[in-house]
Amino acid sequence: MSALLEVRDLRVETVAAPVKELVRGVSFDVRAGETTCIVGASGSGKSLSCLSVPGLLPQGVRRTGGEIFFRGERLDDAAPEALTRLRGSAVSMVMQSPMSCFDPIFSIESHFRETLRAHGVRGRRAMDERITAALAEVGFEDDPAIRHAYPFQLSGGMLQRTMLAIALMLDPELLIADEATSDLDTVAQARVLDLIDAARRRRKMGVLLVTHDFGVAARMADRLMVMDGGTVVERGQVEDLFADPSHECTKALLAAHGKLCARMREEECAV
Amino acid sequence: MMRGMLDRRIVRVSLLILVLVGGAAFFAPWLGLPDPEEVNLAEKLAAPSAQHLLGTDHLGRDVLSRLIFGSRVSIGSVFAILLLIVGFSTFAGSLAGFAGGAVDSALMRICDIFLTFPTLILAMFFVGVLGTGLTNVILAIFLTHWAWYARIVRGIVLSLKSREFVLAARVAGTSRFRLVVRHILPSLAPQVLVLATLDIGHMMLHVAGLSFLGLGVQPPLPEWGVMIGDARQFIWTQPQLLLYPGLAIFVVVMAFNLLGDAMRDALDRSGMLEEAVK
Amino acid sequence: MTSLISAREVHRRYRRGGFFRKAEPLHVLRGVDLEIREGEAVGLVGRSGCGKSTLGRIVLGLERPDEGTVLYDGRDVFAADGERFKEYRRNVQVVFQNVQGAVNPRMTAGEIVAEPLRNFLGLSKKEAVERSRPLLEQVGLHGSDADKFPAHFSGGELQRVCIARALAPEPKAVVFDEAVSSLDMLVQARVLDLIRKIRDERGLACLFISHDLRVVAGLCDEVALMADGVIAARERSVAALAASGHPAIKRLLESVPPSRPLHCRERATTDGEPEPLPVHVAAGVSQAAM
Repeated sequence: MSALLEVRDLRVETVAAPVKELVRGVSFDVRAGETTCIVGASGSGKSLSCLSVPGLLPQGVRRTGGEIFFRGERLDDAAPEALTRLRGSAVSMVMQSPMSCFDPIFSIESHFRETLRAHGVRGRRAMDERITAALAEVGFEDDPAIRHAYPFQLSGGMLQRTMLAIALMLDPELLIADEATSDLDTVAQARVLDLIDAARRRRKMGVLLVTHDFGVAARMADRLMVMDGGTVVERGQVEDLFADPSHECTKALLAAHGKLCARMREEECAV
Repeated sequence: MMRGMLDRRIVRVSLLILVLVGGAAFFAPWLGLPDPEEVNLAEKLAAPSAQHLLGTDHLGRDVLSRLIFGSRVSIGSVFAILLLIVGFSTFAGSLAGFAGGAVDSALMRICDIFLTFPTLILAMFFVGVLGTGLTNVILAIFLTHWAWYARIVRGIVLSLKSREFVLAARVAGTSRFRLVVRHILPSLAPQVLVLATLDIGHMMLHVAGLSFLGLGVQPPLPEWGVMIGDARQFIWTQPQLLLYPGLAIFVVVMAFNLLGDAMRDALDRSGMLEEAVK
Repeated sequence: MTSLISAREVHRRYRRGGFFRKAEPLHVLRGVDLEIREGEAVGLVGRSGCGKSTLGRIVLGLERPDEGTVLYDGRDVFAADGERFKEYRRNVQVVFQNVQGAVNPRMTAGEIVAEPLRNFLGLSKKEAVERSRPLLEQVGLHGSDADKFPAHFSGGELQRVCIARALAPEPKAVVFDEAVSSLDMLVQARVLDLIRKIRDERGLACLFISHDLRVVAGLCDEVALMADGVIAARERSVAALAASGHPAIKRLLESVPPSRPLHCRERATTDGEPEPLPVHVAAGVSQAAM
């Protein structure tokens, strides 16, 4: 069974001189119904590796090599229109900072409608049904006022759940979550992660999750990949990596994670 | 910021124009030009010649000379106005934004009063009260514009006040005065500078406009607006008398606008604007 | 141990803006009592938005409470005169969460650390910047870093600069307002080690505000839980707090990410009964399958 997403030998570098290679020959897979986690420190190239998939690299960097296969078809040299159609529908993203992803002068509902319209859904009734279902999926079924609220009225956690709702609304096969919970407090983070996991199980969706927190990886990952300085230093099944890390970098990260958790254990309230 | 801007051709052209105009204005007395105020009715409305490169006006005064000396008045007065406005508004706006409370409310109400009047009408009123003449034109335009800048400065100060680096400076014991000067003004300055540059054209038109109406600069002082006013009666016979000063205003205003625009783009790109306004 | 900082019955209300609707008042702090004794590290945990940072700012004297008092060394902070207030300021410093936002990008690291030295010790700029060099070394940077601008530092390094700034006037207490929440794990661990070291060496009193229990556990002598605008519980450890059974602490505990991978991972092929999909999703899935 081939993977839902296959990335081979990805290379990303800066556009302006001095040219720096930020992602140096990275390869990874994401299978349907499974979560692949990319863990690493800031600047390790994990976000850029993810953003390359839907072709959303920021200004100032560009992809210079590698192949991306989605559902077995080449994505990296696809026509721009084809890529645009895929984004939001087959491949969806949830990003780190929810507040900056919403236009403050439009209501939450407008954001939903905009996405639906962009993917050819017409008619008020059809839109309303999908919006209601999407909001229910992320736990807003008892909160009809949400639709008419504005982004600044929602907390970070609520906004992120809304972003997840929009991302799931068009039934993507692959969900990319780029540090999606790094800006949230632990309670909101747990909620969002639970929702992503539930959606993955229910929809047999592939999830590509980027995080710097090994605890999040422990919670969510099936497969784990550790990145450092633009390359993959170690990969494997999550249990194997936790039990027996081989690369220095992985060991260092696990040690830091372990120390953090040890404090809880010291106080006998380990999780 | 400046370095990035010079890469654009339009910026270089605008700067060149402004440097030439500015240079001519500054060195005017030493350029060997005929006296711009010397009346010589025998030579009135003469065609361009070696002696009078752009001809003469209806009173026999050299047009080119009046243009160049006029630029000193037109541009000089605008700078004076802007200096007054930027200085006073920054002070008033910072005071209002930083002090808050009653001081803020009082200052804002005063601004509201000044802002309700349309510029030209208020300017005409002030000139009517204070009398005609360049100084009063400068004062009038200052009075009508300061409130707008003060409001903007206040807005920026308010947003900067609650930023962590200002809070951190307070905890570090920095006095309020030092806070404004060291931490707030440097973020404020670029923003205000860009606005001022963009407004130069607008101010020039006001000065020219008031002078054109006869309320500002009085003859025989050369000024572009006055020149247009004088040339009105000759629009069919000697259109060039209108054209030269009009073109001069157009070119200089446009150069300043393009420069201001480029400065704003450069600010946006460098993120300083974002930082100041965030 | 004598009480250093004491907040009594503190209330704080905000008006949440409304352009066309009436502004709704938000009663963030509803009678908070918090005491920090000399040399004591107090953790303050709670969800984001529960008012921890607001309380932090009030304790720092940056905001006045609508009701209630804050005492430093037994005396009312907000009623203090110039000299007293200055002494209070000097002794209660802060490290903020937003590292980039907490420094003036136009000042060098040395100037940043020098600021409290100039204000409280009356040093000249040159002297103060020179004094900042050993301070930077104490937090794990180099003395030569004093001439660098914030843009040259990574997040973790910049936070160290902020810590050096907080320690410069030799305060009795430091408020760490989610100071490590924006840092990634490896950097967070190192900065926490630094904080621990500083605490042990100087016997500093700390108010450690965090939404993450893991960070507070093992670092603080006492942990207070903030919920519904008040201090809902206060115990000697996170464990004791957990035992108190308050619903807020339960939620915080449950949300802590696991230390080891969860067992029984469901694979896509061997799922148990999935929840029924919403109607349109089922329709969409069957369409995609066609």
